[in-house]
Amino acid sequence: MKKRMALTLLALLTIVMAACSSSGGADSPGTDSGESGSGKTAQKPVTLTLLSHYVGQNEVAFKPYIDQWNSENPDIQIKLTPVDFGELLRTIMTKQTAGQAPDLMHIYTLWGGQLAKNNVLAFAPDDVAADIEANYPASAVAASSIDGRVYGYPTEVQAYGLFYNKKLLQEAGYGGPPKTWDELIEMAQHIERDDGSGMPSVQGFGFLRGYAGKVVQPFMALMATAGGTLLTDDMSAAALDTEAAKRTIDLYAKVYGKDGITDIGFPTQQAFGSGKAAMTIEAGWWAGSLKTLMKDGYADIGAAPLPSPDGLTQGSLAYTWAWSVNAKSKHQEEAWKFLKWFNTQKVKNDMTPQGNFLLEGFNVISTRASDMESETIKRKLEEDPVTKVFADALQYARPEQNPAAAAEIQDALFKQIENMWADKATKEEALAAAQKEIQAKLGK
Amino acid sequence: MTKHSYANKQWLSGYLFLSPALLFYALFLVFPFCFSLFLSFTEWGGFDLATIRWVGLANYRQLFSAESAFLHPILTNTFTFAFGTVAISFVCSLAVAYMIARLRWEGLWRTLYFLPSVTTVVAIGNIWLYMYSPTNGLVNKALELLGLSKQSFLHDPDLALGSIIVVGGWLGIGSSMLILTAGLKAIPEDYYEAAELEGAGLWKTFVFITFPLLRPSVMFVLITSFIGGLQSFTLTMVMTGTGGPGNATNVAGLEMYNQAFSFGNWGIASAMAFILFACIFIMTMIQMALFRRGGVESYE
Amino acid sequence: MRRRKTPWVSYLIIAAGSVMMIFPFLDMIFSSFKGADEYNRMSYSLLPDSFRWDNYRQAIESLQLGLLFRNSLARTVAVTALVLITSSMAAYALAKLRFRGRGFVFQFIVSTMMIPGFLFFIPNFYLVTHFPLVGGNDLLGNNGYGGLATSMLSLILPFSVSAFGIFLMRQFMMTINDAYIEAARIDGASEFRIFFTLILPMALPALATLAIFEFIGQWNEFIWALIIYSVNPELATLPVGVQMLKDHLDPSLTQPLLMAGLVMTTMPVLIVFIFLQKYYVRGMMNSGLK
Repeated sequence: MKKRMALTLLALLTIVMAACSSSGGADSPGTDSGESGSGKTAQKPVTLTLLSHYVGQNEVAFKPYIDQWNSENPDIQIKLTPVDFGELLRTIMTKQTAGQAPDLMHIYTLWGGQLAKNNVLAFAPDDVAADIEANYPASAVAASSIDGRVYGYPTEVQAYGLFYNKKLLQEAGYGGPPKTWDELIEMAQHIERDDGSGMPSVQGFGFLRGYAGKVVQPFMALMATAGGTLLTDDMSAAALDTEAAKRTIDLYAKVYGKDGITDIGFPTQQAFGSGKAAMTIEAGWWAGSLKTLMKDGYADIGAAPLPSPDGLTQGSLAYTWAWSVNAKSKHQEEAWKFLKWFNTQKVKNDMTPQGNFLLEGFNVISTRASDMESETIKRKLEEDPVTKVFADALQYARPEQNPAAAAEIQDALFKQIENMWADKATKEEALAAAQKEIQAKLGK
Repeated sequence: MTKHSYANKQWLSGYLFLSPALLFYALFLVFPFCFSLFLSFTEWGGFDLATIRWVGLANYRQLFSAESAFLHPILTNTFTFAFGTVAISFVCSLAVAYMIARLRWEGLWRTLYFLPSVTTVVAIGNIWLYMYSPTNGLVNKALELLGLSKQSFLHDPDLALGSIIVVGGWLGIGSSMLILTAGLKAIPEDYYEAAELEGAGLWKTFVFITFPLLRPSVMFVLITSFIGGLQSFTLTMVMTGTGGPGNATNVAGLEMYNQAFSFGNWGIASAMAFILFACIFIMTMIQMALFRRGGVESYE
Repeated sequence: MRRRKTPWVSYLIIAAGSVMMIFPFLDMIFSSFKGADEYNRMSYSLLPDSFRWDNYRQAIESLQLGLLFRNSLARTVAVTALVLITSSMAAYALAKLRFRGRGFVFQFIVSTMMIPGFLFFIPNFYLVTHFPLVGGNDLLGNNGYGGLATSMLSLILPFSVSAFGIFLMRQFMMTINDAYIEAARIDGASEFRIFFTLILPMALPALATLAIFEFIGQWNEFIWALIIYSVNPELATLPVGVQMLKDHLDPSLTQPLLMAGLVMTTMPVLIVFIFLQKYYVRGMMNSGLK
């Protein structure tokens, strides 16, 4: 038996030596960024790395346009690095530390401040900046700028709205979605059903949860319908001591927690997809997801502008993603050249590659003026009332504010809201604590 | 060979044998330790050494300030998690080790109890995440069958930390059991025979013979699993992402990880690491002192 | 230990306990065949509606299973081997050689076990990515494109020595009778010869234990692999790759793939362990760790 063990060990050691030597071989420079680093002269083909969260199905929709560019531009080749959304910010930060800065990045503009502070973002050349300022909605341009200087092409600009299940509303005797916050709560209570197991069997209204943005963005969107923003306009101070903030947190306190109308453990996102939740708040992209998941059941889904305290004010929040170029990239000129093509050149259906990709990949419409005027999009908006609701919301939605500590700030508010829902803090305490924490992070 | 040169030769070969390990320690342990200590007094985004800014004690002051979430709930959660998982895994593993030593198919039982310990925490976390599902999870189904009402384990902040602790404890049973079994096997059979002659029952035998003789193993299990518990955060990361709801399940390791790699606050993150290191150091010293007073030789 | 009358109560408790140990695994296996809609249901069922092998096909397709498996294996085997070598060498010096500073070195090594591992994530990440003269870095470790993180070594080197390993091997070697070593020395054997031909063969059971211990630990290690993955996705290991199947924006769609991926990740290790557990357990018991 000892002998056998010795033999096993010997075999193991041999494999290891092999593994070590082969992994040692991978050490030599041969990665793509290495190639791009050496290609300083203009004639030599340049490989640009592109980091985005377009994985899986999205990557499949995205790739044809990259392939098209690569075949038309042998001198400037694009290589995709897809990562999951949950890893994207960390990937950007770690790659930058490692000296592996991707040349092109698709970023969530909320991170703009943090990335700019750490010198990750290159500002757009003048012609690009002028084009962007002229062709995109003001909120998208604002989100893609730092201190008034544009750093990227806005891509997915998504506003929040109310999703509802027509069938569940009808069964409870309602002809349409709520207009005011009071109606929202009242209808939700009527629709909610309990099978006595401790968990609702049908939920009237619930917020989606999971990570900071998912909770905080609807908060800011609802706050907008009450006429408020998270930070002051110059982003120098927290604005959670306003009347709008108090009313919004009041609404939030009515949904979950000890005075809540429903149970926080109920998985609203899943349940909505299986017709067991009547109303929730999410951004427009979700319609595409629901369509895939629900198949025929999708016919029951409706969308409406967010209810407001008075039933008259229109308000929402639009978050923005943007194509940007890395300040550490050695090929910024080539990178902007690619982005110009991808975002402004009409390639098919009278739309830009970006416009086509958004529609095919997410069922989302591009916000570039020329794309929005295309026949394809006009037809789409006529056929699809859900998409129209969210497209209209872009006109009045506010941009997400992006100071350097934006991600941390959303995190702070997120944790306070959850504390309140967990009855660890009253709504007044939660709001005051968030105000104080945000203020401290702004001061840094 | 004179005695003197003999000793000299051992000196040389001693350090030769130690050199791979010591070289590693210098490079991946001593240097990083000092670097990290230095970073804890600075503000730095992790990109460019030129941008490091010395801030003195500011990071520590911020972490100890009243509004900081680090001491409470994050550090308290860390300790609760460590105590909880150690308590569960220790009690269960002691019982299991003691019982299976006197059963048939000992190897089979041991294998079954050890399975979670060979499984990646990513898998464990995701399985339990699904089992804890408020609507279609196994655990709620079990509660329902017992006539109890459904719970949203990971969403209810009063239950969330406890729910993760249960998984951590469940996970730790296997390895503790193994070490305790080794300790049990080392107890000479004569002691048991003597006890039997005296007419001592199972329980008395355990209290007066087994447990005192098992003390070194017990100490080893308690210290290592407690240190492990204070550091661990993979399970929390897989099950609740950033330690939610709110900060209800957030632990020091996870918070440090997010501060450093997501928000680029490397200084704050390093300071957190050192505070936790201080805690672990103190706790270990206390545990060792307690056991030494109990008459147990340590491993020197 | 003597067996008296059959301890029925013990059997009952142990059997009930072991159900709790393995049921989650059964749940995982059955769930891996469920469709996305089944995860959205409002009540639990152990068995899937039908056994959808398609989940596995899809998971394999989106996983790059070959790459993940290769990376995991290379890393695990390399770390295990390095740890065996460094631990046994250091342990021999600490257990059987007499020299100044031995006590101090041992104390130092044992006390490093107290330092939380994540204290090193930050500095080691910087160290690895700015390692001089590799991955395009210059002598000062700058201007490169990833440093060590361009190679498998970034997953291996930071784990190549284990304080626990040294400790375990030392405890075992203390039990080896000095007389053998003295006899060999008198025969004129060098310390290296003694180590390789005498000590190592005797230490095989402890080495096997340590090997399995390290193998399991490295195969399952997640955090460091995740950090390196975010710099270089080519270096993804199995746990990281599987966790990345989860779609943050809409987790319900990817749940079936995730479960299938988990089964494929965990089952090989479980099966191998079941076959090797005898050696592992025996090694642990004879290792002097009591």
